[in-house]
Amino acid sequence: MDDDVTIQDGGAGQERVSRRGFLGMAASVTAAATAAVLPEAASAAVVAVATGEGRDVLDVAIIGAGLAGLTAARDLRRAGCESFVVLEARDRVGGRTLNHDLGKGYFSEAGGQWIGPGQTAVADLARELGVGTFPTYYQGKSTILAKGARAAVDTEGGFGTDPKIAHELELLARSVPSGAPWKSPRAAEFDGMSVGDWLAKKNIEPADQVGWSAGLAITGGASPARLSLLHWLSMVNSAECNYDRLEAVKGGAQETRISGGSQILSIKMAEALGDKVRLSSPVLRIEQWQNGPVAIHTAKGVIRARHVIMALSPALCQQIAYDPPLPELRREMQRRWPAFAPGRKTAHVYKKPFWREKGLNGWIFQPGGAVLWAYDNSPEDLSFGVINAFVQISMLPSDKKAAEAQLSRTYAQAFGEEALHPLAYHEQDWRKADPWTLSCVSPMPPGFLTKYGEALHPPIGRLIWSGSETADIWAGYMDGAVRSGHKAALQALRAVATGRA
Amino acid sequence: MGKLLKRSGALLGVLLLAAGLYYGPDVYGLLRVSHEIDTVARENTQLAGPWPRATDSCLYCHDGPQGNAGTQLYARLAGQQEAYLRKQLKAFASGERNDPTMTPFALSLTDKEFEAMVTNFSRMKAQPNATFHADQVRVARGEALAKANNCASCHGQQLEGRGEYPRLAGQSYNYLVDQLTNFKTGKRRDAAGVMPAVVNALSPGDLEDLAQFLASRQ
Repeated sequence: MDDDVTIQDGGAGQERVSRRGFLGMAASVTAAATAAVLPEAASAAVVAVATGEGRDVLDVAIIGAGLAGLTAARDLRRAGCESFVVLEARDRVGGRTLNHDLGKGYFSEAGGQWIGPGQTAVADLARELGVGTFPTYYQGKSTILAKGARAAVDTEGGFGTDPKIAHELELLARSVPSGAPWKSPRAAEFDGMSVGDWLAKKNIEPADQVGWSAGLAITGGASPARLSLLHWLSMVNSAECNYDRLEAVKGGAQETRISGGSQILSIKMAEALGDKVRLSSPVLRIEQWQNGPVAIHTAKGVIRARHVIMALSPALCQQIAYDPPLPELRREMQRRWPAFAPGRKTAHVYKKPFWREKGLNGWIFQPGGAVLWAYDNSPEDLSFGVINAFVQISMLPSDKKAAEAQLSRTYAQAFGEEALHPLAYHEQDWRKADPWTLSCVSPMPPGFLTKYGEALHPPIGRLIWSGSETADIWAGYMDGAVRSGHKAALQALRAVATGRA
Repeated sequence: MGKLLKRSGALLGVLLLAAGLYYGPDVYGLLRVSHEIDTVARENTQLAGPWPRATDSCLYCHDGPQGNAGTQLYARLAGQQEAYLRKQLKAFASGERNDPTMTPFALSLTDKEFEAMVTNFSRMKAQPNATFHADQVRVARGEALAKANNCASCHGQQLEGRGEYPRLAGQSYNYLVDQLTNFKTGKRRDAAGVMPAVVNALSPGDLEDLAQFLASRQ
């Protein structure tokens, strides 16, 4: 029955369109013609009519073709469920993972890209899909640039965070469950202050303050004063209360890269799902979500489904209209969700990673400058040399050519004159690229999780909440996205089974 | 030396201690970098108050720590009118000026943080929009449009802003085009109806000319 989807066009009656037609590859056909061409679909319709439900109602609709939504779809199919569709707003899959094509089959990531110890869900997915992994390069000296001064030091694959303070955070994190920090016995206390408030009591030296600000911006998406201590501890808890495992490359969440670029995971899953995945179909409105069948209004027509997996961040859930409105706590949670950490990431492509021959690892820290952190993102076989960077959006020209030139000069100061002439430059300013991301990670401000956290997980009516933000472990990471997809598929399958019983 | 190395930053802390063991030619560079990072921290404190600062979060998209933004896509806030900043943050929070980034941000601020944002940016010195490369023909057309529409009557003779009317001089070019367009489409509201009345009579090309003129003012 999934072969046909009914599109309601404005209210001017119903028109049957073949699945391929819906994808723009064939003309629409009448119900009779569909039945003649697709006898299986016709017999499915008879069954559906016999059970009293329209043949156009799917068991599950998944909104979002990122790692979460595609993992959920893959699980549904593995469980024998074929009555589903994946709706994606963009004209591509992968969500917050995106490959820049460097040519010759090589890629550099514009978005999420790493796997670390304990991130077993995404690591297993890569293995199942036959996607290889390889270590992130950190061997050699890191470069620090500050107001014209330059130094090169071996940072040993980490960011040099004060181990004494890191250990204090590790101990506190033990009482903060990663998936539900608001359930910590000390939740009120920890959510009542920012990481900055907590650090301020530790007499951090001025130069250390610069380091903490940069570190929290890269990993947490906000300055220390704006990041809830409870939230930060929940992230440390995700990393099994090991600070390096959260923050570092060596032994940390940035340790391992994905052959073919991280988006390959989503691309491979989507390929296997074929035309179950509908691109360029942003969901505008969701009706009858309490008891179903849910009517999902997209830019390309209406999809009807008994259950919906919302595989997107709460901030993106907020961009959809609901009729009737969602319950107050969920609505307020979505409205206030801290989607204010947009990312801008760049890639300089060179003929080879020439910095390695100089004993440098390609890393740059630039306190007071545009580069938060630059790092070596060369392909495994070194067919190119690639320097990726997280940059301060404001401090780099928005003009691509000018941005490339400014960064090239910075890289030349760090690595030598060869850096002035990249073969190519790529960048992604995620807030401006399209309206379907909004934010990289979600920098929870103090007070948010204890007030609204309870609304994050529980399904409401026929809506099952997924997406990395809902993960029990590694929320906000690729691993969390995969975990949330598995969980949502189980919830949906159970709901489908209960409905049939 | 030990003291300097110890002072040299979370970013550098462990690594400098380790690097100190080498005593190589890098040591001079380390000392200089360490000194300059201290300077950065001191300057940030002078500009925006003691660390940790809530306003540091804004600098990622707006202005940068020294008010020397390079982007044309995001608003420049340095030297913006205090009353305007307060009004807009309130409008973001209430949803009157709904924005998926700024609305949750404004809603997340404590009263103290809210005032810190307003004070900090209104006190920062406005810098010329140095990365905007104006087209002089379009600037001239924009100047004529600004005169014909009497922009200065609300926004000040130098377009420096006044009270709830924003500073426009040296604003980011693409941001200006976006906002003028939003007034035209109704996405951005103006209760007094002045801005829609102005932009409704202007073509998209006119709006760009106007933005060229405004972005290139100092």
